[in-house]
Amino acid sequence: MFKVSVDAGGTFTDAISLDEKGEIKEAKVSSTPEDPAIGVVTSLKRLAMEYGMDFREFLGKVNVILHSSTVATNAIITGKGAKIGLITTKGFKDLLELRRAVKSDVFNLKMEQPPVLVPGHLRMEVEERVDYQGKRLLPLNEEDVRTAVRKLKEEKVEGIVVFCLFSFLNPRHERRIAEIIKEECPEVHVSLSSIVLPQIYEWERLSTTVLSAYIGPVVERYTKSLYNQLREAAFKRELLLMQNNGGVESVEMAVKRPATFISSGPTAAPLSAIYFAEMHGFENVISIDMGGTSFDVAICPKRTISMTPKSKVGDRELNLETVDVSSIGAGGGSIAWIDITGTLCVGPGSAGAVPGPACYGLGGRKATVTDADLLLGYINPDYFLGGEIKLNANIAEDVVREEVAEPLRLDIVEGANAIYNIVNANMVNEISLGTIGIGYDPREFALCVGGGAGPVHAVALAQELGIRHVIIPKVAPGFTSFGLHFSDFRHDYIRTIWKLTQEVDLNELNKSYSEYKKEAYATLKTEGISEDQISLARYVHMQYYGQFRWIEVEMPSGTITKESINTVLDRFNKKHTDVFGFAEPGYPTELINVKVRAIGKTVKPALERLPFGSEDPSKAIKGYRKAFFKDDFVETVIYEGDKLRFGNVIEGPAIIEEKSTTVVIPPKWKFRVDEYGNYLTTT
Amino acid sequence: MGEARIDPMTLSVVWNRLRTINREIGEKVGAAAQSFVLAIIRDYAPTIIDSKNRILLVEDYIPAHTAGSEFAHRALLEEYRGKIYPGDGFIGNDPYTIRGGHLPDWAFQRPVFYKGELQFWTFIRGHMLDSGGAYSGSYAPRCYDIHAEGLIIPPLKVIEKGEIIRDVYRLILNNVRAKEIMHMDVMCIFNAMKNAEDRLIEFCDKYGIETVNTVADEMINRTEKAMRELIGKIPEGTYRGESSADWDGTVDRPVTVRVAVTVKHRPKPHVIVDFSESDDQVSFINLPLGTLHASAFCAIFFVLGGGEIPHNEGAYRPFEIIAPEGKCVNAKYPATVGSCGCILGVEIIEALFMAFGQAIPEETPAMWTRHMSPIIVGRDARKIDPRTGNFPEMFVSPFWSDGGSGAIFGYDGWNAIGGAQFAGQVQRASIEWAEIVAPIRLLNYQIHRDSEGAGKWRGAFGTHVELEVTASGGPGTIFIATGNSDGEKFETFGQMGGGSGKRYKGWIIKRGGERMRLRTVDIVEVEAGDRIITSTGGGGGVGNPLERDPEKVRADVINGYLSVERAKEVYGVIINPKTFEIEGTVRPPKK
Repeated sequence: MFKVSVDAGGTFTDAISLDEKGEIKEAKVSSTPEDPAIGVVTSLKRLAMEYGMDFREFLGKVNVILHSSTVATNAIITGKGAKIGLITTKGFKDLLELRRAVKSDVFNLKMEQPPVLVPGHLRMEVEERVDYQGKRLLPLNEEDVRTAVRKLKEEKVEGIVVFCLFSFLNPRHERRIAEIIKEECPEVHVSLSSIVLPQIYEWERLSTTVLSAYIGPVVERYTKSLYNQLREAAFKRELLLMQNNGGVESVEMAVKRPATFISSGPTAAPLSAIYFAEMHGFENVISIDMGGTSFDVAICPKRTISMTPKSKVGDRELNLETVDVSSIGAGGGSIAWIDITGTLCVGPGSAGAVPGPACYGLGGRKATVTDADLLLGYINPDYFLGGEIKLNANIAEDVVREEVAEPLRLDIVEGANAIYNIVNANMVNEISLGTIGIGYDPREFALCVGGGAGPVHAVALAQELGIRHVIIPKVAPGFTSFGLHFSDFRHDYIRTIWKLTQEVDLNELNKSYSEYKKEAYATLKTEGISEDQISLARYVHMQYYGQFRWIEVEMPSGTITKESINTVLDRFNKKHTDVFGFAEPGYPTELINVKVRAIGKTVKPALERLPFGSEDPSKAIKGYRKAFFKDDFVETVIYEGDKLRFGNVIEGPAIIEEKSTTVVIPPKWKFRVDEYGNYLTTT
Repeated sequence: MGEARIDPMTLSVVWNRLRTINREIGEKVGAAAQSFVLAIIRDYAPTIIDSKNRILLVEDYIPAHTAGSEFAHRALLEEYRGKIYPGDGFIGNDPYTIRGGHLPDWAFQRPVFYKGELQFWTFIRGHMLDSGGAYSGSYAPRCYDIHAEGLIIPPLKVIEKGEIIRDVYRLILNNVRAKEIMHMDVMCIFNAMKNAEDRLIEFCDKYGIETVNTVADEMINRTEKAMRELIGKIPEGTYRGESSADWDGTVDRPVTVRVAVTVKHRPKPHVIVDFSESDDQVSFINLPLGTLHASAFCAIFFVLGGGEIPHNEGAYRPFEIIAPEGKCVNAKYPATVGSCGCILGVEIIEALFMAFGQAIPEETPAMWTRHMSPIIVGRDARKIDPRTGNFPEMFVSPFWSDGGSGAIFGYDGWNAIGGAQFAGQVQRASIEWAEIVAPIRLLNYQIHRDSEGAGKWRGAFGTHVELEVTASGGPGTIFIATGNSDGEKFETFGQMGGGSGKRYKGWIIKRGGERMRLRTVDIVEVEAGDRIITSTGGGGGVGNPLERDPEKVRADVINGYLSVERAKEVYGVIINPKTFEIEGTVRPPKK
């Protein structure tokens, strides 16, 4: 039997299959943004070919498919979500337009304001009102609701968002509106703000619920279409989807709560990094993934993924807890340009897949990172993507000269090196933000590297950051897809309590947690998880009285007593000091939310071990070429990755050519091949 | 290109790193503060000043707090030169020494020493919960003099070598309201700066102090050069503009800012911005000189550089700003300055937009919405504040009544981003938070239909807001302040033939049904059951509305922001009110 993962990214779709022995097979195909399911199925067919099997036969032997996709993100960025309506508290139909967002690119007025996702004629008001303590001030006018639903039905909306002020304290009106919608118009999707994001900050709650509804039908259509295509090809087992929170869920749950699927794309990458860090005993790891257009970073102290309450999807804000993967426009296709002060910049603009970097010879006339990498001798023009694309160094030279070297009075090599260094500096900056920026020392982390362009740049980044341990997995090009194999089921439950900490009713708190426990167990059971595989973590959200943002603190296990609350307070003060540099123990605090995270453990694969070779890598030598290190070209050994053996030690300067990536090892760095074929720094 | 004394790579790396450090100061303040306007509205900004006392870096926060910070810095040096040590922390708000802001805006500074040498200063100015004076929040017209407006702090050391100077600090806290809260916010700000200090030191370790200083020089010089190149493209000449505020809250007549902008290409491109013809100082809405600079550069940066130019000393150098002391834009002690950059700051920006609009119309926006935000001031009688043991002090400025930007050639204005002086960098208040911290209930929160300045590119729409006061603790405990609001008498005008945004209208319906006008620049006592209603205008338009793309007119009608009547009368587009189909146009034939 096989366990299969498919990550459908912006440029490529990566499928990875593992058999019982732990042998890995990979397939990389172009993504098909118009119908991403095609790319997914193609990648699976390619995998079947790798095994020499017919597609149906292969799928018959697959016991689970784990899947992450940018389909929801793309629908938001391209504005191709569903037609949705809104039912809201009387007086507030324009809240969506009135926003709370700060304008980016402050002094640039020559840009269009992104239009809201629900036009005014589909925003309906109903009489009702709840106050700041959750008390009902005005009852729900059900006639208003029916009129609104009928109007939206006439308009043929696919989904309806229900948003009432203070519904995070009292969701009854939202729930009743949902019931009426079900009576009047059972076929339409309904999204309640009190379910999608039951928290204070009304605009954030509303806009996130709107995003959820906007992509809901897209997610449903996509997952069902994919599921049906797989079913038709005799796949009888489960398709599981990666969520924003770093865990997987069933298709059924994703359709119920589509917002959980919005940032599915990059969230599995840190799971890969954590797996490799564990394999080699590194306590802290930074996951990086550098592809064609973007560079994703996830910081994993103590081998845990970090979460963020707020992220960006295109120019929209998502206020749903998401795996903290920060992203900048730095990839192989990133374009070099000179700004108004004459300073060289690289990215975020990208040449994309078409025309791609100038050296692809497909008409690109901008100097990109790949062009620089080529001129510096790092990548082999005849072996890019295993030779699928021939690179043209003459064109790369032309564009680097015209776009960078001449305006800055540099020679071509200096120009290429400046591009290389600046894109690296951008990436270093991004890593620093997530580490030094919140008090972590990057030198205490190992760097785990993914993406096609990642291994070309990774060691230079490590050098700049003072990181000594670098892991470049054999599966680096399919890094995110591989991470899916290490995902668990994961469901989050959150409820607002909002009391002064000393006034919290411990019985109520214990009751909340046990209710969530029950719900979590029930949900995970439907997803096929047995009780002994379930673990729960409990949190509270706390702040000093009067602050407007809380901090998440873990609640000790067991029944909650006065003592557990004291422990929580200590943890809060400590965390406040870590983040903000000060604490004021004894200052009144508020307990805002309780949260439960339920995890259903899945069976993780074990990889196939390779037999020990020797330290000597010379059998894998493919040739020599000049590559640029520090300030000059150096004669560099080129190894063929597939011929390297467990135990081989490679000393820089050296370059390892893999089918879908190139590992650049500068002088003074030494890597060894581990028992699974990964490259690991050695001292 | 100048002959770079540093390789392009190091320059970019060092520069971006500095920017990141500065930005993080701001993020930490916003995430941990207790002042409503700091945390919810983002009324603050961080700046890094270099060892040569130049503004090196500002980031994307309200520009009113950044340009002009060099005045505060110079005042500090004058007082403390030779007495500055690692770990020191300074506070100041005196408009006549630090010359920026009004009293609730406190300027915080910390020196950053590297290997015994003073290398940088971190600087934040932010709007605190309170600064003493007549009313909670220190924001009311008709005060006798600056002393009546609140506690005046000259540049003052409150932390020496890492230790709070308790005598001074206690005196300050004892003269502001809710000292328990003020203390936490002071700690929040100083610690965010301390964090940046540690990072700046690490950073100097890594790149070496000479490199860092070279980058500072280089970036400032490059910025200056780029700015002068832009100025060189403006036709030489003198361009005039003027704009008036409704009144000063005391004497009922408009107050006018007048500017003459003279562009010269020789010897080097430069601009003289002369405010000498402006009205003499009045009451409450006067500006300290630093705030005049901040407001003027806000307008200048909108027009020149489109945000591509870094905003450091180099960007300021080509401009000479003239404003005699005693004018409303450069107030003289003991004049009151409570309203600060919100009023007159706007008139400065508008006068400059008018002037630049004659020189480079396609680069100059129409007027943005004028600021209107009825502030809820006083004590919340619904609960006891566990921090103080008293009713909570409130200064809740929600920004709900604001509209957005004026149009610019090629682009519509943005809805809901506030007045130009905020540069789209404030956040409107969370309704739910505001109702928790103040005894109010929002009844109606809408786009104000048909309030936009029409044009081929239209301005943003204004808003219509109704709120009710739900509790009061007896006479003299709760007020509505419109001290930073403006736009009742004057429209926000358009450019290149575009129309004006509507004027502000506001009133209070008393509990008993009596209706009274709610003026701008005022403070009015209210009680439970009173309703406050504001209707604001939008931004000005650009170009002839009859040339507007009919599909865009239709989109505004669908959204309910534009009536079909106005669509026809002003834009010449006939739209079916039921189906929203375009049924035709009534437009003059194209010439």
